[in-house]
Amino acid sequence: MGWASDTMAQITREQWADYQGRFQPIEGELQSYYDNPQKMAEGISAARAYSGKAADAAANNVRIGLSRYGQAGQMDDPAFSRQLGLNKAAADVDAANSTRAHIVDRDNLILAGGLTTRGL
Amino acid sequence: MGKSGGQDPIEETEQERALAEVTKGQWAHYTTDLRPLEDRWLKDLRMDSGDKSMVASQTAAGIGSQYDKAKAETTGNMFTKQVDPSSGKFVGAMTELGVSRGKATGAGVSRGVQAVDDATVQNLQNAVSIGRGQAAESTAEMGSIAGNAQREAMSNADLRLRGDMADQDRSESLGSTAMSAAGFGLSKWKTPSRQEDKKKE
Repeated sequence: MGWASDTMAQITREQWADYQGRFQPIEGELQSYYDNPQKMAEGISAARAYSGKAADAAANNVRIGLSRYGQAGQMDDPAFSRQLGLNKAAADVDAANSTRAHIVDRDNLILAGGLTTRGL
Repeated sequence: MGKSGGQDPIEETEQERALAEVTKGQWAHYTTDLRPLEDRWLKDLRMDSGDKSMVASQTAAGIGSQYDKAKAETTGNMFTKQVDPSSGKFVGAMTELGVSRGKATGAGVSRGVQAVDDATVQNLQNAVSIGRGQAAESTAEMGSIAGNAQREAMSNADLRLRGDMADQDRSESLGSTAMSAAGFGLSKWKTPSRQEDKKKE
């Protein structure tokens, strides 16, 4: 074989080895995001936790606000408690559903390779 | 170029030799000069829990401060109209604002944190593109993507509030202040160092 042919063959092999060593693992990592039940569960769990914390913090904020006017006791009214509880539950479900939908959308974009152009 | 018919060697052309020579030079340039830069970038593809915490806290703080303003304005409006703080109107208004604040914060933080995960996935996809010799797309818009998510959360909360209540005291206050909270969280998240990293992409 001639020099040019050998050189090109060698470079081709090196490029392939370089790709396998540095980029293929990243491809695998990207693929691991697709349709991954564990990541889905983690995402939903985190969203629900944030939602719950936010609802509790907001309720506490209302209590503090009302206490400035001596009205903190109003929060113990079952009607208000119920309203806050219902909203917390609704927010929890909404957080779980919207996160699930978001991850499914992202999965589709990973598969289509359009994640960066579409954005989420 | 091998042999034809298995016997007679075929001379490599000048063009083939030139191509091999240039390719060899390009490959050497890549391995010595460009690959180290790539490797540095590849190490920084993944967002971590610190990024998530930062986004979560800044988003919550941004939304919270807007609701604090809304609450102060609502309270002022009601006192101007001599609404009794022990009345159902006053307590109801405070409760509604609190409920709305909880929803907006929960949704905004969830979306912001999800957007941080999205950034990791986008970076991985960019790396895969580069590995295949394709151009990578900048993820510099990450802040605005997450900002849009927050804006949506705030907008939904605001619209719900407007729909739930026909009370100008509350809807006006919230409408004028809450929307500007959108995008607050990640505006500070786009630190200079991260911006520089993105420029390298």
